[in-house]
Amino acid sequence: MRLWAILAILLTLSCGIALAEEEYSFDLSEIEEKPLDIGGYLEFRPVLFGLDKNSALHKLKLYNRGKENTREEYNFTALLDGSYKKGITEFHAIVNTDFKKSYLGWSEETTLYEGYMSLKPSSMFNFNIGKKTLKWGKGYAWNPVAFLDRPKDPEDPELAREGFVVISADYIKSFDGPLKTFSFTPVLMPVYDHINDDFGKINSLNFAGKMYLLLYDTDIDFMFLTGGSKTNRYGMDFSRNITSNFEIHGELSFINDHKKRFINSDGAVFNKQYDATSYLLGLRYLTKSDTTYIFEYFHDATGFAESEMEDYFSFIDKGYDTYLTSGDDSLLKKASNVAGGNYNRKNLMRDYLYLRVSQKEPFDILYFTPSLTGIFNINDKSFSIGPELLYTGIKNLELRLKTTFLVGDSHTEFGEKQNDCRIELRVRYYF
Amino acid sequence: MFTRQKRLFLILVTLSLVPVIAYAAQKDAAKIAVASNSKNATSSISNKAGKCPYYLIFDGTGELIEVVGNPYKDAQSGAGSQTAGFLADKGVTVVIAETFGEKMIEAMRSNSTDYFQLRGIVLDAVKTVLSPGNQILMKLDRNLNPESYESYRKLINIEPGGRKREYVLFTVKKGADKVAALFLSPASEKGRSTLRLDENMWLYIPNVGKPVRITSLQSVVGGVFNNSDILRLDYAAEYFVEKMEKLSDKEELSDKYVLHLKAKTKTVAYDKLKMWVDKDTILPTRIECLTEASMLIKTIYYKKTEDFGDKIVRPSVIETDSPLYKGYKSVMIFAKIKKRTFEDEVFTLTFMPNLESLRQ
Repeated sequence: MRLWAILAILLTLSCGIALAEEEYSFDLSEIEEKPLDIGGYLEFRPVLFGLDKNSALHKLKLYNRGKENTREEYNFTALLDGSYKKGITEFHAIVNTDFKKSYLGWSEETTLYEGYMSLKPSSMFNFNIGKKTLKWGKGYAWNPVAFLDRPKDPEDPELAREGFVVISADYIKSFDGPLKTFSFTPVLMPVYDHINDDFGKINSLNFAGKMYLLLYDTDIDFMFLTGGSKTNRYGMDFSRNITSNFEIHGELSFINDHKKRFINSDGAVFNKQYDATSYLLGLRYLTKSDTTYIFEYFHDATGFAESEMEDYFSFIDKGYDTYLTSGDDSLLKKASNVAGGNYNRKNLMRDYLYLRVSQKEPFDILYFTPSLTGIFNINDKSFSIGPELLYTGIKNLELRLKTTFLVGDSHTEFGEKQNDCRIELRVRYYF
Repeated sequence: MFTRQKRLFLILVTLSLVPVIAYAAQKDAAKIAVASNSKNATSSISNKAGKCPYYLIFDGTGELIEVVGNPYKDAQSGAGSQTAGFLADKGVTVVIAETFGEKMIEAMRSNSTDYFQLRGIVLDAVKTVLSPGNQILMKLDRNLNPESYESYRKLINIEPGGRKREYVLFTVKKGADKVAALFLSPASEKGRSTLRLDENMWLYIPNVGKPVRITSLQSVVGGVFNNSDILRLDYAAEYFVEKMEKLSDKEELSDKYVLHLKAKTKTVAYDKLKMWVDKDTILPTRIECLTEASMLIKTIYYKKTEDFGDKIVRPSVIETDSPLYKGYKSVMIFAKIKKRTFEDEVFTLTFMPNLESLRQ
């Protein structure tokens, strides 16, 4: 009820905003350059989860909670994006505050997504120091070459906006001929106590770099990371338009001595070390009727094999049975703690397909974009599918209604997630 | 003593001669090579620009001055780019063929060689390219905007109910193939930028955090505007004048040229344009955007000519309506068009997140 009341207020307000718009004019004060610039958005995002009480992850995370079939969550977000410019120097910060009401009660979290200083002495060179995202890679859902970024959620790739503290620079050079652009981005990333300590091993100064070429109308990047916080890794990506409505892209990454930690069905923890080669191939295709298809295949060599996942789920089942019979939750805690970090990734296994189909303004409804997103786990044949409706017809207001269904057999990735389905509304007002 | 009417008449005559003078001035500079299936100027144009047997070279008056065999007609690979280099070394400024390979187009662009995809007889094609219509089009481009400039634009979508949606953009352009636009408002679009470098197009959205290559036909904003409205290159870079309408005696007194333009490649947003050009100012007054089958997609009206300073006198308002969006109208208002030179590095994917720093 409360949810509907809030929605009604928001919609009324937004209609008021639209009606209050002024007559058109091009006032030059609108384009005046200001040294201090502040923007951002306010967001309200209620979510309803349909729980799968028999799933392994429900047993693992909610074994000692109530047995409800659904769960509500209310999220309120304020994101402030500000910059201050003076001469060739610019300061830029993005601060995000989340208020969440869930079954655990109210919680609040404020995060500095980005906060850095830039020096831009010329169009050929710039220098940055501070917390910043780098966003390497051409893939839409996954980026195996994003060595310095936090992993993104393929169901909502725009969410990963928090960066790391880095020192970076861009050197750019343009040419005539088949090679049109060359740029190089060297990056220093310190990982010490309280600085980037969630990135990898601490007490290391890591060095990374990316070389970009626009060669024969193809974007090509080569990148590397070395320094000790993570094992050495190298990669490349590309993107190219085949025709004016058809684009292809890909990524390839090599990780030396990747360490994988996994658990067997008896709870014994194993470590395995190997060189991992991951790759992604994708395309973007636009039809004459303005339907966009984004399709990707991702092979993640750091992911778990089907048998390893089955072992993990079996161990959770065993721990849950023990808890039910004796009240002893030590095995469940072990499953959660010992192997938790490795099993907490959004997509755990090795081979995935991603498809997103979106239709711009069907039936001549301006600013309305329905879409459908599907992620298919090739290894265990489980999948998620999510229809979505997006409306941006009211100035500075974005309304998104999204549903996700998770489908899979027992001991499959999507079959064992704690939810069967999820419906969320996102109301975002930009200022 | 001239009467006032006579003076006015002389001014009009002089102005109407502007394109002809410009045309004459360029005649000596032009050197046109046509891909041909034989050594004869009445033969058909070859459909293989890179591997055609002959090139017939004409001067700016349309006179055949040289016939050369194509040394790369049997090349196993790279014929297109090598042929483009061979012609550039001969001082050719324009190449005509029925079809061009992508690599040849790229090489010609690198050499600043213009090209036309035409079918039919070699001599007829040369006449088309040297036609006053194409010279008028080139003049029109320079009158609309300097070769390298910055400007501000407000785009307004007006819906049937009268509701308006406004976008303000900062635009920078250099040469024939480099243009970038940065959204300044509304808040939901702020910081979003698009870059076009030749046929390559990218979109940068601050929330995504990196430039993403997009297909050039993809719209970067909702509504009636499409990318070609936002990142338009020179008309002569994308189209050539297929025909300049022959006016009847009565229409001779008309103050407009009517040009029929055809897209140079399939990647251009509209297959054909019908353009009404003011004879005095050599500025467009109306353009109909058409499909290959001459179906009307939209009509663009150029209005309110304004002096932006530095000899830039051009329409400050462009209105668009479309039978595909009945009842909808879009308006583009220009402000602060200013000649400005930029480094090539501004028009690169790496620079995209920094476009705001160009604003002065």
